[in-house]
Amino acid sequence: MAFVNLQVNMADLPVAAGLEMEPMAEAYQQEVKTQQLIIWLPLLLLSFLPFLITQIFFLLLIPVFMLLLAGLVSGLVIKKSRLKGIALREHDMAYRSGLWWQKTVMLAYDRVQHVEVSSGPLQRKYGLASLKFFTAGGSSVDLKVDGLSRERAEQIRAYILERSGGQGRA
Amino acid sequence: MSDTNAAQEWHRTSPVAVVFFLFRTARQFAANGLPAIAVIIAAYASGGTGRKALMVAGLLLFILISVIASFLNWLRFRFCITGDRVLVRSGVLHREELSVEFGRVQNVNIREPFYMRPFSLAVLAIDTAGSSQKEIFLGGINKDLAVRLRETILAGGKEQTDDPAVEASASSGPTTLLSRDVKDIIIYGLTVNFILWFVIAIGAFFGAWDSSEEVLKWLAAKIQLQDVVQAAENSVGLLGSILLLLGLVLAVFLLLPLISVLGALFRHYGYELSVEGETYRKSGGLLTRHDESMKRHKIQALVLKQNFAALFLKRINMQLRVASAGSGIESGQLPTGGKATFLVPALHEPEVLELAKEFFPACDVAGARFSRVNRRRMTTLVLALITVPVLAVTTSLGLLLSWKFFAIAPLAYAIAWSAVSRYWKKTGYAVVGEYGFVRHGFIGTETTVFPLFKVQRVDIRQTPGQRRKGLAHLGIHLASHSLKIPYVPIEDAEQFRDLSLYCVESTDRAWY
Repeated sequence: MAFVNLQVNMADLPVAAGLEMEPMAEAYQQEVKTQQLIIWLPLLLLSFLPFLITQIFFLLLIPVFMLLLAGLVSGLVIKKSRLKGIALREHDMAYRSGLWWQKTVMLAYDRVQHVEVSSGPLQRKYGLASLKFFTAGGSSVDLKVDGLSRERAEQIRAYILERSGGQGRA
Repeated sequence: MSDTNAAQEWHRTSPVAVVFFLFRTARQFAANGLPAIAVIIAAYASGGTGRKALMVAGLLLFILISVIASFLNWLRFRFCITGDRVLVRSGVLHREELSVEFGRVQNVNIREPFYMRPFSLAVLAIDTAGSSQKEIFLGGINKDLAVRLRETILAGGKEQTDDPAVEASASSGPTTLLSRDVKDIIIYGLTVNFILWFVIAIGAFFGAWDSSEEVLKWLAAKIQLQDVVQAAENSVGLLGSILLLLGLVLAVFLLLPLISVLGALFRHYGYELSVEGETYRKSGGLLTRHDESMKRHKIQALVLKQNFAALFLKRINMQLRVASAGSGIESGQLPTGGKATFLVPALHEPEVLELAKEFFPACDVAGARFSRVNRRRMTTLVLALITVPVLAVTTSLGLLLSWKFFAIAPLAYAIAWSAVSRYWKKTGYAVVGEYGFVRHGFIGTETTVFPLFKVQRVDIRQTPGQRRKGLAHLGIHLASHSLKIPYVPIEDAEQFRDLSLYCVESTDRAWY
């Protein structure tokens, strides 16, 4: 074990593993599906073009492949959106994401510099919002959580700002 | 002392600052127009007399414009020191007013460029951190004023007192911690850039990044090599340009160490590190004297770098990292020589331990027992990854040319295997008390020591394969930089995370 001379007993620490993750809002599934439709439908229509121009029956295979690809990719994207989860504790939060590469980010409220709530046109339609948490150093947007309902996003923001020190405290 | 308190008085810098602005314009131009300059020089060499005259006239016009612009910049530049902040108004066409709170300042540096020294003037550089990093330069102010301003700013505006008793107890005078002679600085020049020659030789590799390497990377991104080659070909012909290129390569290999040593001497000649209360100060420099200060509590991490050359010379270079808004490369700016780091060069091992004790008094650097990452998994993955290219190369060469080429395969695996075990040997992590340690390396090592309570964010990533084997990639994000440890046993990664979060959440100490 690499940990020596600790001032606390490891067994006494709050354990972050196995946290109960709160899934994203149900409307998020709808948003992701609509998003995929917006991306794939024009591509699918375009893929008929070679057949329509040349009238070669064989070229109908292109839309078939396109349909398969669309189904596969959107299936994975939708599955990925289902796996996302967020958990709030008293002093920190966890955000889990990823299909193969599963990543869990943990962030203490006291390190949050500021929080941004944003929602695009599609998100507004489904009453959703994204939360962005900024911390010091490194990449500019440190943690972005998609797929929260508007109210939940505002609620979390208020909750975290109440508990964060940030530089504003100084 | 009361004149600094007479608030809201706008000052102008000395007229010598025109030169300062001129230098800044020139540097900016050189930074943005380097490929253009190379092409122009080549065009000048190949052009006729008429064109040459035209170009000289253009150059003179350009210089004239720069001088006028610098003068206007100086005329428009005003600054004001109030009780708790610095205000700066600047800009000729685009007016700008900046306001920086003393408490937010990361670093205050005083530079004495050679053209200011005869007038006993100095440049005060105020370095702030935040999502939009801005450095304020007060170029061409009286040196005494600069020193006084630095005291005020570093004291956070609060301790700016006339009470002699407080002043006396706060400062028992600076204590010199370390001084480096010419030999040390030469060694630093040799050790800091050895990896850089290496990088040039075998391409980008597991390096320990240093600001000079960043400059090189930035240069490579900036210069369109084709343009230069094209211009050279037009002027000296094909054979000439081949010779030029060969000469250039040779010069690079022979001159780089020399340039590196000279650069180190210019920047750090007469290096001295001292401490006064909570404030560290380092000074040095041949023509332009740099005088940098930093508060102890601003230190986010201590980085110990020992590359191949340093290993051979038994020296270690130490960097103190403060909060940064990322490196300037992404935003297309020239990195200004590791502004977010505070260098302590060419240390012997006992000096490292002694200084680490000074910067992190509660930290037992020598007591770190490094755990290693999972070797088997890493090796398997790397060997699997190289299988396809290795097989493709060996079979095609072996079948087409000679069966002897099949021997490449075991050789390639042997090299890959030894590289991985080399990396594995140097990579590790440890916790001693409230401090975390992360070590990386290939030939040399780079060890980061940081107080756990200054951690900003922790993440754990796993692939399905890693989940089965109980391994993970651990990411630790500090305000100064990020650390990644691959193939850590999941229990250790989770404990590292839990402990860091505990340290963050159980303290009231500010990280900044």
